[in-house]
Amino acid sequence: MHIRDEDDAESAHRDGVPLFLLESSTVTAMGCPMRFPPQLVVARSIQPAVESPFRQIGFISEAATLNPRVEDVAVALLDLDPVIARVLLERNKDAVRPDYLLKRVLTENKERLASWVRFFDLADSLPRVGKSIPAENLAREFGKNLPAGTIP
Amino acid sequence: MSQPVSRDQIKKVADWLHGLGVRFIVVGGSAIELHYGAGTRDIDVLILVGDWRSVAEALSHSPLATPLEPDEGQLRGTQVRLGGIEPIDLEFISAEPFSGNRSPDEFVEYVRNYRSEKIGDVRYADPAVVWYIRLSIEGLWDQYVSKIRRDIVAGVPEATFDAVVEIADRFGVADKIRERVNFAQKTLLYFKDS
Repeated sequence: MHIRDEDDAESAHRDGVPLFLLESSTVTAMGCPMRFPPQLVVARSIQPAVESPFRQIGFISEAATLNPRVEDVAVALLDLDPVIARVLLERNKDAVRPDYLLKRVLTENKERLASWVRFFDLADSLPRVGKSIPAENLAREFGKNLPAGTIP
Repeated sequence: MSQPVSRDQIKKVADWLHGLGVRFIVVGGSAIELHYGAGTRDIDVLILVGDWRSVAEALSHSPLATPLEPDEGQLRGTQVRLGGIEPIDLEFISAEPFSGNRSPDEFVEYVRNYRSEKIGDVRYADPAVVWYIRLSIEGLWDQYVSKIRRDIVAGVPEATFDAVVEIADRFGVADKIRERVNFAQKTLLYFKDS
């Protein structure tokens, strides 16, 4: 399967192919203004069959690629920029479901990266694996690069 | 970071501004706050393009506000300190970026006549106007999607997007705004259960 551009990714996703294109505009719209090249998040089950110029992020969960939630975006971002992944969760804390976040981190075997940026602050049951950024350092990140707020 | 501005504070500032003889419509999060607890940290008001001078003049005579910031185009701010409350950021906006193929003042009149609510002496824009304004800001509109989501969480109906497109249609920018609305709706899917 060829995913050559954004439109290919969009229509494949719409047709139920377990993949979605993670774009910086989406992360920006979730309250974390940033720019990065689009990343194709693909279910591992079909990854060998997917050819694309986009960098790929493999997900073990097909369901998460078919109906991604904000937690899935954060898990995908762990591979790209773990601190931004955590900032994204912080800025959308009201929508984060701890149980789902726990399940997603465990499913994708991202415990170490998730611990590094303290996902466990939002999902108590997440196992701590390896080192973590001190909470106060992370808190400084939460205050940086806020969405523009001057104009309504 | 400044504290959220309460509904009462917004009303107080709006009444004070009205008392200075300034013509305006409350927009932004402060207009949303009228009916929904969305949480806003400043007050934004829409004015006629020709009123910049009179606004600056009115503020210069008030001991309760700092002088209007130097001319920065369509947005200039001040800080207001009314009895017993912390200084509040008050931003004045004129309508050039939102009026599409019509004049800026037509946009203000349209909001005044069809898309706002008058409480006491003060007009508050409908949520659709607030979202339309946000989605009209070139280069920044995608950042405002997170604020739109905040409003929805606070209770603003998603059907408000329909009215946003109607406003855009009236000002000849329906294609552009519809695309942005579609993007916003697509982003909101990340927050819904399948």
